[in-house]
Amino acid sequence: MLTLELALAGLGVGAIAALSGLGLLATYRLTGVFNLAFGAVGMIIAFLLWQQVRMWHWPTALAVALDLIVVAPGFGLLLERLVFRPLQRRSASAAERLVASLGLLVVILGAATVLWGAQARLDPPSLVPSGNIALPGGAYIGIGTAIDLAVIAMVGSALALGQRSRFGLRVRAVVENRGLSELGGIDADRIAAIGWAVGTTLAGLCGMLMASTLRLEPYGFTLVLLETMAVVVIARLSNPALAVGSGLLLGIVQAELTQIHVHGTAQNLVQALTSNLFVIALLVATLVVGRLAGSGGGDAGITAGLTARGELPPVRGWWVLPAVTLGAPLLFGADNMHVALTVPALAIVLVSIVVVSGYGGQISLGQAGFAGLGALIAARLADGSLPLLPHLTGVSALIACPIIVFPIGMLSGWPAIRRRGLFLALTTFALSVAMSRFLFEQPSVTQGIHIEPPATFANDNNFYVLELACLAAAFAIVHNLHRGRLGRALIAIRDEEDGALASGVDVHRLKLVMFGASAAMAALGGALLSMGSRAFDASAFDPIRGLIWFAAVVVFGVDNAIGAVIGAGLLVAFDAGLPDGTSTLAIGAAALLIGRLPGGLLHTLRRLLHDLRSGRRAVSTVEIHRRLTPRGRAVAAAIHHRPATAEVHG
Amino acid sequence: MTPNLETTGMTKRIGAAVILDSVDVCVDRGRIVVVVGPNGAGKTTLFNCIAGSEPADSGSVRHRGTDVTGWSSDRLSRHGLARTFQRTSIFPTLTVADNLRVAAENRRRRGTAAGLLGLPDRDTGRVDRSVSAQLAEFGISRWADVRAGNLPSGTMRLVELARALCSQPDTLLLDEPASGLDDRETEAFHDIVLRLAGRGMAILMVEHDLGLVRSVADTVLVLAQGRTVGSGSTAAVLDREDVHSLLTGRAR
Repeated sequence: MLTLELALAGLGVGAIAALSGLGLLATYRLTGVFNLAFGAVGMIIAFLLWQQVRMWHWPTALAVALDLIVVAPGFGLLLERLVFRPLQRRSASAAERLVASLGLLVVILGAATVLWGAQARLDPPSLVPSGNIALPGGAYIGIGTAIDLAVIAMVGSALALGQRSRFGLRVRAVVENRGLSELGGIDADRIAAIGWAVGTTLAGLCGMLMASTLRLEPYGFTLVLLETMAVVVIARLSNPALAVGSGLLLGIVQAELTQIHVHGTAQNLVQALTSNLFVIALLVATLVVGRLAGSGGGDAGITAGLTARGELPPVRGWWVLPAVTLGAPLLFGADNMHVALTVPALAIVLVSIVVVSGYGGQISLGQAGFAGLGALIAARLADGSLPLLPHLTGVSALIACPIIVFPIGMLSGWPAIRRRGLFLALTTFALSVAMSRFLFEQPSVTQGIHIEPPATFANDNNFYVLELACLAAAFAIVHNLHRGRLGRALIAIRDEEDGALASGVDVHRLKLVMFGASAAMAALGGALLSMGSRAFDASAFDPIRGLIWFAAVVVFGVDNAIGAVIGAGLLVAFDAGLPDGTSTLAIGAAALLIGRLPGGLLHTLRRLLHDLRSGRRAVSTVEIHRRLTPRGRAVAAAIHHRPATAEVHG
Repeated sequence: MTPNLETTGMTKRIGAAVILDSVDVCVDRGRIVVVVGPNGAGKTTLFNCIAGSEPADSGSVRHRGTDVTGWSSDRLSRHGLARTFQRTSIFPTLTVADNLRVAAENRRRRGTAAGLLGLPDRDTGRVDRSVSAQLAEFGISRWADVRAGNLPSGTMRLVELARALCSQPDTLLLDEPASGLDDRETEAFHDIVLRLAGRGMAILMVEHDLGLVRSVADTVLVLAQGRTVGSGSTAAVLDREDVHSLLTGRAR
């Protein structure tokens, strides 16, 4: 039965989702960047407020005013100037912009973890007095909710009015085509700067308002804000009213669902559904709306622009570096060995991202889900509790687990083959959130789980050797993706998908196979991770961790499997030797700079060495051209006596 | 005799606008049919609807008697219907030989799993022969190991056409194949097209260069605003007063 009280209570959650969705939408409309870091910005501003009020004992009003008027907008201006302006200026691909916003998310997470630790703060300052307002008819609505709704109304109407104004028109021009609007005399840099300042201020406001109702901790808080992306996707990235409406509605539905009681284990499912309604909404919305919106979000599905293939001659002796990285632990003592066990397992997971994104050209933010699934399946195979499947132990479970996950990966790639860009990235992320919430965090699924290395490999050294063998198998697959018919077909798809189709390449099937292979590989890595630590830890496969892994792969070179191995080694070493969050901070910072590291860190290093050796700085004219402002291009063109547009796309 | 390619009633709308209005095309073995018309007449849309790049709202496509309506581009290519694009679609980071090889080795769909596991390809001999034959035919052997993206635009067109032929088609769709070619290259292209038709290839082509059209086309089809406004033997149709003014923008 629907009740007004529950509906009004649900409105509180709904208002928060609506506000956060509206803020994200406004940022997207103002800057043209779907800012994955929106939630993280909100989180860190909320933490800052907590620090100011609870630690430094500032008056709440003063702290809030300072954060909203100076800190948040200043942060936005800084981001625009340092990160996004260089990307916009050289017309970076949508994938690069998405990675930059991902880098921002990761860097903020890292910073927050370093500064405040990973534990939750239960006393965030509240911006609004607690208490209720009586409504006619005897119902009550929380003061906080009422204020949230008022803020929504204000932001929503500002957005609606702004769109029709002269300024709104300019914003749209800059977002649509920066180059052309500059030619039309619009100061695009200024417009973009304003957009970012407003966007981060809205994020900060959302974070502060939400902190008083949610647990304030870096990962969880950011993830909750990320889940409210559902309402933005439902609004098809364009309709503010729809975003607000769906946010409020989801909140109300969630509250009403708490009334449903069924008997037996089904109640667990109902409870999981209720508490994860936004996750379901995000998954369904990306699946349904993504299909409707076609190629929405530009070419972010294709990772071109992140790779720098073929620029340098292939390396001889490429195996030396990973071999040294991986061989070293065998010489260490037992203490270090336990830490080192993580390296090959993590390397396999990172290589799986290289497979789907570097070679398959598809952004997949959900590898943490498949890794967790692999760990879960390996454990359940070992205790024989998987329906329809035999009881497998040791190495046979390890072999069976990727085989089982392969078709699941293909199935999850199904929506991907007809979609590109942002929606693909969001679909994969939503899938991993759903897996985390409905499997890894469900006590009924993970209860009594017992996972350990195969008996023959119980000794750490032996298990490490087994891991190396698995990594070698993964490398064999990567090697096959480089060469022969399959390798050529994959390059053809990344180069020119229409041409590949016209040449008879079954692009859809290939993409599915790549998804399947990558998921299987991630599952193997996940199973090894769990076996190495002798426990199934849901937080090891947190969806946010998947984002960090993806950023790490991009930083070390998205099409560079050796980079993935070295990256895994460095990540583990950082985590073992430095304070929590340092590795995240470093990965995020490097991802922010990805525009300056084409092809990733390793490739950039190689190019520097190559240039040093050949005694010159090999910069192509195209690269120089991209770095120039429009006026600079005109000057360069005048010097070289050729038309200014001649090489812009070169 | 069954024509190689036959469309009936191809219709495509975008919103209220009719882009293609019940267009019929028929190309027999060894014949060259050229579609002409002003920009925006629906020529490329017609090609896309035939080649599976975009869905038509109604109408059907038959390829050698098989109903291929709604087939995807790659499936059509493997069935023997190859195409080139208005904007060349070569693979810039692959060498010229590898560009051709992609088409030759995907004539049949198989080997994905084998490729992942690193098993050898049984087809290599046939693929090698096909690639070197086309390289020689188009006189581009000396470019074989050059990255295709570094070629001059005229040579790119040749590579794209050679690639299309590597999929061993019996029917070719060429979208403005001569754009970007200089006079000498156009001349060479002219010879190639006639040679292909002489060997039995059915060719459907969009082309603006009326000189070229007159010298190669067996039949022309004139499109304007999505409708067929004339079709028949080349000289008869192109000499019509209304067609002439439609295509050149002036009266004779």
